[in-house]
Amino acid sequence: MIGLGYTLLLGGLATLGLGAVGLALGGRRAEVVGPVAGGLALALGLPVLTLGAPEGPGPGGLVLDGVSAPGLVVVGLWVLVLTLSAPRRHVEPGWVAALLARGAVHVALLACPPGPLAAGLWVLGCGLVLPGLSAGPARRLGAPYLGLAAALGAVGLLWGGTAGVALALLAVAARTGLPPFQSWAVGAYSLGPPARATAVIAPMFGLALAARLPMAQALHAGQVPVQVLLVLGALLAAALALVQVRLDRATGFLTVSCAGVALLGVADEHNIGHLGGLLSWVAGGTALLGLGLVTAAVRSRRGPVPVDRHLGLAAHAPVLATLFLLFGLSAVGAPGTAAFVSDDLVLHGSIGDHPLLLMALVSTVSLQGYTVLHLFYRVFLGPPEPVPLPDALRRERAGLWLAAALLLLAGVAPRLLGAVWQRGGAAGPHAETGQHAAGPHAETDPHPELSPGR
Amino acid sequence: MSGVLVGLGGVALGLPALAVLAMGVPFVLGVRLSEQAVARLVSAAFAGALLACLALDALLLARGGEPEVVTLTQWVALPGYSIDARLVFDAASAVMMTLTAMLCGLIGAFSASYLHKDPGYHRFFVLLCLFGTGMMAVASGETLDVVYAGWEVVGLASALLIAYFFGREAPVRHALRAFAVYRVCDVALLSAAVLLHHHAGESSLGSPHPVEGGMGLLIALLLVFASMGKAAAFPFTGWLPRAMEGPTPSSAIFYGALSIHAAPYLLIRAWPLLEPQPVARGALVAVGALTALHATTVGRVQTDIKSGLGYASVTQVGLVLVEIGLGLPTLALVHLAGHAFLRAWQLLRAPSLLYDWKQRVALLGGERPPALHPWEAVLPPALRDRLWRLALERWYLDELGALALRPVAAAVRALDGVDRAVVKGLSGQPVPQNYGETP
Repeated sequence: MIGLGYTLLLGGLATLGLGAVGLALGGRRAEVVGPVAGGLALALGLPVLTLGAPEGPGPGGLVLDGVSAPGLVVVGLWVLVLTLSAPRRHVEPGWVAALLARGAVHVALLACPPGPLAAGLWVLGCGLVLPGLSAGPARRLGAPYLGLAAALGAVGLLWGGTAGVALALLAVAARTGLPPFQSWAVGAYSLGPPARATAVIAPMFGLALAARLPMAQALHAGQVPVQVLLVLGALLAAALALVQVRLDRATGFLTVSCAGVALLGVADEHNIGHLGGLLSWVAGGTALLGLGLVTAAVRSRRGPVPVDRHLGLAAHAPVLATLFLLFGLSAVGAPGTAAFVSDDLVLHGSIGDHPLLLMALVSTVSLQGYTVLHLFYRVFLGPPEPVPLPDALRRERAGLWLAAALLLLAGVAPRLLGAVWQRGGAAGPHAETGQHAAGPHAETDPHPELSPGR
Repeated sequence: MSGVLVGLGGVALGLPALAVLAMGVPFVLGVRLSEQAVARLVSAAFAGALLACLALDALLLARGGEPEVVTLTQWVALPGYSIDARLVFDAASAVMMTLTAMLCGLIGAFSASYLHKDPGYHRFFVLLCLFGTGMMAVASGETLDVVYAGWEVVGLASALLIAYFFGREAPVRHALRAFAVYRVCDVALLSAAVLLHHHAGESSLGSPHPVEGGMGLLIALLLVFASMGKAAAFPFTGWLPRAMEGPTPSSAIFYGALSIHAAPYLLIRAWPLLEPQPVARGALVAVGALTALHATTVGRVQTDIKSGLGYASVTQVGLVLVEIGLGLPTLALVHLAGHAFLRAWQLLRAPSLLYDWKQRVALLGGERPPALHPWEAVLPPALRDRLWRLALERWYLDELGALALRPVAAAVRALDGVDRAVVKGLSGQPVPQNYGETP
């Protein structure tokens, strides 16, 4: 007899899966199925989040804890916002089916400890990315990277140990589009509609694999080189975003830069950094989703959007301008937004021991913030274009304001997030493997009172 | 007593934030508030905040000035880790909070008629209230976490108000320039907050156990660097006169009264961390002196009144930084408060002053030739011309900055070229580089 939590989780997975299968088998009205499936998943996921961590594993070895409990809620929210607010001509059965399937696979992956099942889900998840990309150049570009990610992830999960974890992290970097694997992810934004790229890249589904890797056991001294590579990658992506002449590519680089910061936290051996990474994933993913959708909305109205001159679109579309600014600032951790708290946790937990690395990460976050304002000023401020741009439609506003409101609420009252997360059992994989101490530095930790689980 | 202080502190911080919400929610719902409603809302918010601040001042005086630290709320609470929103009420925060509430309220009242029928009327007041919220957090924050949050909000409000007249390109460009300087220096502030938290166990600015050794020096230097951006200290002075593109009331409150003084105030607040670090204090004296020298020379060649007043502000702030570095934080606080009122008044008066001056000149029968300042008269002409040129070029700081950034930008563009080559190679399609080249 499985508990209520697992029942609801399976129910949510079934909802997403059935929606995907139905649309794939010739279903129509994707613009209705998508929001309904997303809304149902959200509704089923909320009680999962608040019930508290059940004892023992579920069917198929699934684990419901602080890592996996929020998965259904978050994926449901993302599907709802995407299918409600994306430009209508992109909300077609094949695209929505792939989105629902990807969501279901990654919710399952979050609840799956490393092993053969996780490897299978990972390969399936990588495969489901391709139908989400635009046909032609974007898929040709993405195929080798996604194949590499699938292979590395499967081998890493099956091999285990330090080498296995290293391969799995490499797989996550390739799947998420972190440098040096950014070409396919950023290319998706410019070689096809930004809405399709946003659905594939912004949710950072690849992080689901990293969430359960036994970092402290496997990496030890290897933690610092991993951190260095991730920080440098994120910094490089932020700098590349700044030199772009088109909004779509700039948004793509900004997205992968934020993903690098989230992965830095998720891959941390300490609980605080790990939790910060998970929160950064949720908050950053939501914000980047919103940012990508606003970019898609502007692109669908006027065609390619240059950022090498001022367009003054705020004069005609103040709501789109406000949403762009809100989502952009939320993605980079402005105070009052959810990512402010999560980035703070990543900073404190991950690299408080290494001042240079800390300053490099802080510089990255700072550069991201500057890039957001640079893009906002170029696209929305300045002398207005003579041809007016229609502002956000009612359905676009509904999805986007919902996401923005949640980001601001979680930013102003982050205790709500923490309380809910703790109720779901926030110990995560570190507690399962007895790693909730401060890792290998526990004996020399000057502040043992800050180490969870002591 | 703590409960009363928490309540009053919450009111002072919360009222401007509530005003932002009260103006923002109608915008989301597509409802447009009247100018009168907006003006009354803002006046009520800052009047309430001022009353709360005055009550706090009275309580503080009744306690003989004894400082009190209160926890407004436990902002983040996780196993083994928490961030408390802690406020401190002492002489410095009392002065700064009262100054903030008073000046924001005055500027709000001035702007209600100054910006009447301006298309950006609502936007101005939303940003003014946002700024007020941020400044209150900076003024009353006991931990660097709270101060940093307010600091960022102040910087964002500043950047958005410089670009107030966004129908022209120049204000937008200058706003971005100011924001770039803020972001560079904010790296230092955030780094200091994290390092302090990590090594002292908390990011309290008044910690009785400051971090010692090299780490203590690093934190102090980071705080000095962090203050240089908002203070427009040398070599970051270039953004401030350009920031005068914004409306006069915003120039008054940001670059005359409050935002520019947030930087020395941060150092006054962090005095327990600075005091044991003579190297950091020496650096601060050097920066302050250079700032004053630079600003006083460049200010003398300005041809518009707001730029001249901007440089005059920077000169005084440079002197305030010197005072702090020399170990005179109380004098610095008094100097800061007096200067804030004077400069705000001068900037608000500037538009009508020009009008009065032109009328007076006309009455006198035409313009008089400009008189040389006494020290200008004693300099040899060749040196005077060189100094004039140096001042006109703002000591070539802009050119030096561009020179430093050029190789970095070139390297990043080269990497972008590599990425585009990879995309073209694998997808068979080149990435469009210019507008109009659709895939």
